[in-house]
Parts: sequence; structure tokens; C-alpha cells
Amino acid sequence: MKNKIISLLLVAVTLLSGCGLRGDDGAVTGSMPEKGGTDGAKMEKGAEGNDNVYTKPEMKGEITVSAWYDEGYLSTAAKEFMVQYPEVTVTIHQFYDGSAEPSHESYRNWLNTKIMSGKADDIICTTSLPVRKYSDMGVFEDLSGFVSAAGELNDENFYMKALEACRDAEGRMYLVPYACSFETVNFDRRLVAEKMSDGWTVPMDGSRKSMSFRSAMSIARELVDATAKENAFMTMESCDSYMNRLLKDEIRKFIDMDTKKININTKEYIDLLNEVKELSSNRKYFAEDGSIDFYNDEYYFACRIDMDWQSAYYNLLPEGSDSHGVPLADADGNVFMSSGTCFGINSASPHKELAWEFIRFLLSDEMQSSPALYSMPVNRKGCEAYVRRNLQLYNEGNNANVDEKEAQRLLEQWMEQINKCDMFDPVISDYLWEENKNFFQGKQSAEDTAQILQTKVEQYFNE
Amino acid sequence: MSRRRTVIPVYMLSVSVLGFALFYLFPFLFSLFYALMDSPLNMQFAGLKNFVELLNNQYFMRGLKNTAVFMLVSIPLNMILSLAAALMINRLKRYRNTFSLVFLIPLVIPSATTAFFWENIFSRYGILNRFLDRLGITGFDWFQSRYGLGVIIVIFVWKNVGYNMALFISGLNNISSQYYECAAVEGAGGFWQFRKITMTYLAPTAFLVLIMTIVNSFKVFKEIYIITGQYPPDHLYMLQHYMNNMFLSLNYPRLASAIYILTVVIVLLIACLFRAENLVSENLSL
Repeated sequence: MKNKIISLLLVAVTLLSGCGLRGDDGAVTGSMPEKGGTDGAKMEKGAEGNDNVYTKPEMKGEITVSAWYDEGYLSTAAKEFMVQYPEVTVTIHQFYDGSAEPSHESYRNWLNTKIMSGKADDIICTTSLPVRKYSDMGVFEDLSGFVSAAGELNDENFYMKALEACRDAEGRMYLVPYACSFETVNFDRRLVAEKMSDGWTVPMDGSRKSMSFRSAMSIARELVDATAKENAFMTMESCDSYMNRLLKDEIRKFIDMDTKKININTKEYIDLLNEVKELSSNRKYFAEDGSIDFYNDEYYFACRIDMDWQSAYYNLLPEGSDSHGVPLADADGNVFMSSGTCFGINSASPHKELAWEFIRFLLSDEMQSSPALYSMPVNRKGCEAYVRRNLQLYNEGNNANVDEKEAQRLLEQWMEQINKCDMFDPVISDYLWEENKNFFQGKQSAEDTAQILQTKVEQYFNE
Repeated sequence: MSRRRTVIPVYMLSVSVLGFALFYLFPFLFSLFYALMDSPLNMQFAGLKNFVELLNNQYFMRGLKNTAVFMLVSIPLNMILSLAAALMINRLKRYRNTFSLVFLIPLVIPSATTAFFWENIFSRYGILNRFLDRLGITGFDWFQSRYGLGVIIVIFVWKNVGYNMALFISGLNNISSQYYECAAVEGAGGFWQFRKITMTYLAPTAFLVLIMTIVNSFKVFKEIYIITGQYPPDHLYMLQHYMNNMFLSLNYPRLASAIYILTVVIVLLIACLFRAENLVSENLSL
């Protein structure tokens, strides 16, 4: 009896080994399915030989959307969509309901459970998700076919560089942005004017070309050195945040997401940590935490990081605090937009075409011009409406009269420089933030910090 | 009557067996399905590919090695210390219960409190380093250093020696004093009595203690996780870290494969132990 059982087990193992280990022909090696992006869409060869002629699906059925938080844009769009297509139901599942904020980790766990149980929503908003990891695992559908077949997605209607910023090196596009928020660096108008009165010129031309954080801090330091004003500091960023921004400038030097090479436990990283610590303890350049009375003291921050619209407005406001604002770039000149306002379609969704129709609706002139959209639209008409709307609000609040065409022109100059989507893994960002913070709080040395991060990130990538 | 005697226990056990089957056995068998797939999203049959990849994965092998080293050191150490404690307490005529309680207290302290307590001793700015500073010795983060596994062994032994000691005390009390009296009359010394009487009749208890210590040795993952997080230093990276991280990164095929390999190893180990125990019991009954 025992021999029979052993024989049966041996036969089973041999069969399983034979089935599972075919490698060369690739038939059963667990490789990813073809990512041509045309799995779900009804793509046909066009009459003139175009590869992607899109046929609109029957507008009937239910689609679901998952998001970290819906500020109102998604639910407004869902309502409008259902009015236009009464036989379609759009259900939004948001994780954060606006009360006590849960952690992003718990949001990822919630989403992971849905994905693994096959109950993930058709459309997934990518706020705080490790997008590249999910794309590599096949969670998202390749949308490049859908995008190229959609005739309205062109440079006339959209900021195409921003739209296409989500494309990877192989041309695949797993995400589509509905908004393109980005950061800018701005210099204190008063400090700049003071230094310019000595014949100094700001080292940038009129093209408003982007600038890296390190370059901006270099100018900020010059401004602080030149001023006689008290309470003038380089930046209001904390040393953790300062370190984070310097890292982002040159992150590929330390963490290469493509090759998965990690070079954190190096002299360069350790020197960077010490450099920031030394600088942040220099009271000439950095204010001590809690030392400034923002209500009663006059203070000057030579360089400020701000968001797109607000930065544009205060740059144009004659008595505004900011001047010479440009998009924030990395050391290679890449300007990143946030991946938190992007959508992907679940590769296992049975309603991919319908989901794509809803995304197209989110990108339409009508929805992109909606007051429910609080971020910078990626649609040109939507951007114009956004500028008009916010200008009215800001001009009323500041009793000013900033010109709409000027604001539009400035923003356009900036937005045309967006060429990347920030898809850096938020899990690794959290590790960097946490360990660097431990160093700045004096809980561990720079060497220990570098070593711990090297181990953590290597394990995360290579397990 | 005999049939009724069998039926009632079967009914009473069936609830427990059903629960075990529903929440442990069936999920375990179903997870084999994941182990044979390439990805839970693609669901393409991959045969034994996951197992082969696992055995070539440096982190899985590191976890396996660290777990094996930890068990090989901590289990015998724990058993020896708990037996020694049991023998000493058994000799006491007064305050026996008090001393037993002292050893049992670490067992009831929650893992988070245990981790917090030991972290305060062995961290870079912990009590031990402050003490060493006073002696002019530069301290370091013990958990990040190569002594990290040693610290974990200390934590494990501290926490579990009381439990094993209680089992050994129970086993010692079951050995009839007549054996010792006869041996003493025959002129046998203390060491001979320990070797030939105590160790022999304590064998079934020792076997139980060994099984329980093996089970408890896997639970040390809790303290390591609380102190060092999801990605600990290399020498503290246990098999459970690998499995936990595979779960969190949705890599269910790898997780299931790791579970099956671990289960096979544990089943073989326990089977060998049971065989050895049977041989010893046969000798005892002779």
C-alpha cells in the first residue's frame, strides 16, 4: 500500500515537472499576456490600413470605479454619464469618506484584496499605488490602442505631452490622466528685487524653463546671502522634505526602477544626508522649528514650492509674493505630473470598452470644464474654463485684476514642459521618508540609515 | 454499549474536526491551486515552475537558512534551560509556586510589550549601550548588527522557558520516587539517577516539549516584525518574512509554494520525531 502511494506521488511529480518547465517555446511559462492593448476594444483595421479603428460598444451595463477619495469630480461625471446613457450604471467606491484619514497602506491592502479575489473595480484611480508594480503584474490593461484610436485625443484638444507622459519606454500606456497637477519653484519677489537692485539678474531666460530643486536652492542661498532683512530663509521646507526633494532630483543615481539597482549604501547618499543636516541646522538659512510667529513676524522664504495654478496667479499678481516661477524638474530636466489623478482599467474587467467610454467622458470638454474638477485639467478647453473660474475667485479675494490671457499663456508655457508622470513607488518613498526622518531626529547615524534603506529597498525589489 | 461509547466521542470531536477542515485543511488544499499557477491574475498553469524558482530565490533560501539556524540554536538551549529550571524548582521545599510564577510571567506578556521592552534594551540608544558607554565602550544598534540573531534567541528563550519548565515539572512529578529510592539503595549517584531514571522517564514529556518549542519557535516572527518591520536586516530575515511579503505583494503562487515546501519539511521532521518517540516508548514499556 505504501509503495503504491509513493509510486503515485512520483508519477504526479514527474507529470507536473514536465508540464511546468517548458521554457523555450514559451507556451506555459507563466509569461504575461500580450500587452498590445487591444484585448478588450473592438479594434479593426481601417479602410486606409490604420491599425486602430475604434467601434463604440453598446452603451449598456454597469461599471465600477475605485478611488482613494472623490472630491466630487467622479460622482458628478458618473451622474452626467448616466443621464446621457440611461442604460449604464456607474458606481464609485471611495475608500476615504472624508472623516478620520486612514493610511494609504490600508487603502493598498483593501485594493489588493479586491484584485486578488477577482472583485476589483473596472476603473482604478491610481492615487498612492505602486503603479509600475501593478502594471508589471498585469493588473492594468494597456490602453495605448484605445488612446491612439480615440480621434479627439490630439494636440489641438489636449496637452498631449502631459497625456502621453504615462507611456512607458516600450510605448505601453497603463494609465490615462484626467488632470495634470505639477509643482513649481518660485522666488520671493522682495528678495529678488533687492538683489537685482545691485545689478544681479536671475539666472533664467524668459522662456520659463523648468529648474531642478538643487538649482533653485542655490539661487535661494544667494538671495539670503545678499539680503539685510531679518527672518530671511532659504525655504520653509523641513529638513526631511528638503532631503526628499534633493533625492527626487537625482533618484536614479540611488534607485533605478528599471534595472532594480540600488545604490543607497554609498558615500554619496551618506554625504547627502550629512549635507542636509548641516544646512538645516544653520540658522542663517533655515528657521528653527516653531521659531517664526507667522501672524506677527515679517518673514521671507527665498524659494517656495507651490502648485501650478496658485503659483501662476501669485507670479502675475503685481504685489504678489512670488516671482520668476518655473516648473520644478529633476536634475535631467524632466517635469513630473502627479499620478494621483490618473486612471487605469482593470485587465480582468469584463467591461473594458464601457470603462474606456467613461474615461473618454472624463476627458471630454464638458467634464474637463466642470467646476467639480479641482486640479489642472489636461484638456485645453477645460484648462481655459479652470483658469477663468479660479481667476474670478482669486481676483475677488485679492482685490486684483490679473489678466486671463496672461494667466493662460503662463500656464501653457509651463504645461508644455510636462513630460513625465510621477510613478515612483510610494512604498519606497515611505521607506525613504521614514528612515531619513529617523536620521534627522538623531535616532540613527547616516551610515545606519543608508544601510537600512539599502537592505529594505533591495528586499522589496528582489524578493 | 461499545458502539455508543465510540459514537459519542466522534460526535463531540466532529465539531472541532469540521472547524479544522473548514479553516485550515481545505484552504491549505486549495492553495495548491495557486502554487501551480503562474499568476493569480493570468491563471496560466505553470506546473512546478514556482517551486523551482523558489528554491533558486536568494531571499527564500536566506529565510530558510536563518530559520533553521535559529531553531537549531534556540530549541536545544530552551529545552536545556527549562529542564534545569524545572529540576531546581522541583528540589525546592518552599516558594516553589512563587518561582514557577516568576518564570511563567514572560509567557503572558503580549508580544508588542515584549518587543518594546527588549528594543529599549538593545537599540542604539538603549539601556545596554548606555551602560557600555559608561565603561568607555562604543555601543551600536544590536538588531542591525551581526549579533541580532543572538538577541532574538535571548528574547525567545526568555519568553518560552517558563512554559517548557511547567511541562517538565509535570513530567518530573509523574516519575515514581520508588525508582530513585531503589537506585539510591543500589548505590547509584545523582548523575546516574538523572541519566538512567530521570531522562528515561522524562522522554515522552521531552518529546512533547520539543514539539511545542518547535511550534513556538515560528512565533518569534511577531517580535522580529514589531522591532524591525517588514524588511529586517539580512540575518533576521525569517521564512515568515518572505511569506508575509509575498502575501502583501499579491504573489500568491510564491506564497503557496513556500507554504507547501515548509509543510513538507515540518511533516517529515515531525514524522521522524514520532518514530523516535515510538522507539523510546517501546523500550520503556519493555
